[in-house]
Amino acid sequence: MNNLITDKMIILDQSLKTKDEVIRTLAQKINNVGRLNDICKYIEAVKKREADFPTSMGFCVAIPHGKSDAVKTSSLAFLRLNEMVKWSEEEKVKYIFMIAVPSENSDDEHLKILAALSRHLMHEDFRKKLMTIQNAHELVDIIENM
Amino acid sequence: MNILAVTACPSGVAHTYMAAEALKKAAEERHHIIKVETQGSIGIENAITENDVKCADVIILTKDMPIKNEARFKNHLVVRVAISDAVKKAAAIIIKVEKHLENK
Repeated sequence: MNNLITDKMIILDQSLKTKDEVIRTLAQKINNVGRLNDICKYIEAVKKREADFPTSMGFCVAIPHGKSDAVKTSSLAFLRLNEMVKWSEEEKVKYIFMIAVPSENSDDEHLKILAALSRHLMHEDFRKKLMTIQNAHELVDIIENM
Repeated sequence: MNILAVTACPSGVAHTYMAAEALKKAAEERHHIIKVETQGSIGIENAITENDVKCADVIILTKDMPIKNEARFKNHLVVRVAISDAVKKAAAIIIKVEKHLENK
């Protein structure tokens, strides 16, 4: 099974200005490792989800996600920004997990990891780890050992 | 209080589980008993049983998606909340329910 997240899908300490840039940058990372069929269609699905309701969840974290047949393999990408970016009318974010899930036949194992990650994000000690990781590999380790 | 909750969100990937964890954490911090069933992309987990329902004081349901088998909660006090509120304001929800039950 492909890993849900790899070093190549993690960006630490980058400066971006807008939510659009964040979404495009993360989608590009997932696309670069060959996990999307159609990056434009995937971005559209993510934006539609954001328009329905922004995925910022408090604590400067957002989890944009797209469930679409534009996704080949369930994937997770992470971006830690240098400066906050406005995500919704009320919220700014600094830590972004982007989730890509195929509309059908998603791998259960991946979905279980995403469920576990969602639960972990509600705990402060877990969020603190995200703030302080030094390199991409540390995050892969955290996700794999959740 | 003895609280039951069921969470479900449109994609069933993330918010279902964030809301479940937030409600669990908030309820336990205030020393309540809580069981949360998740209806997500990996199916129904931690399913609420008939027996659970019998001894529940209140049922919290997220209202963004239809809840499966909702009929099992009829004749019980049901509180409906937006899933985003369950994620972000779980503590406030629990306190509100406490007050509601006290005033009954």
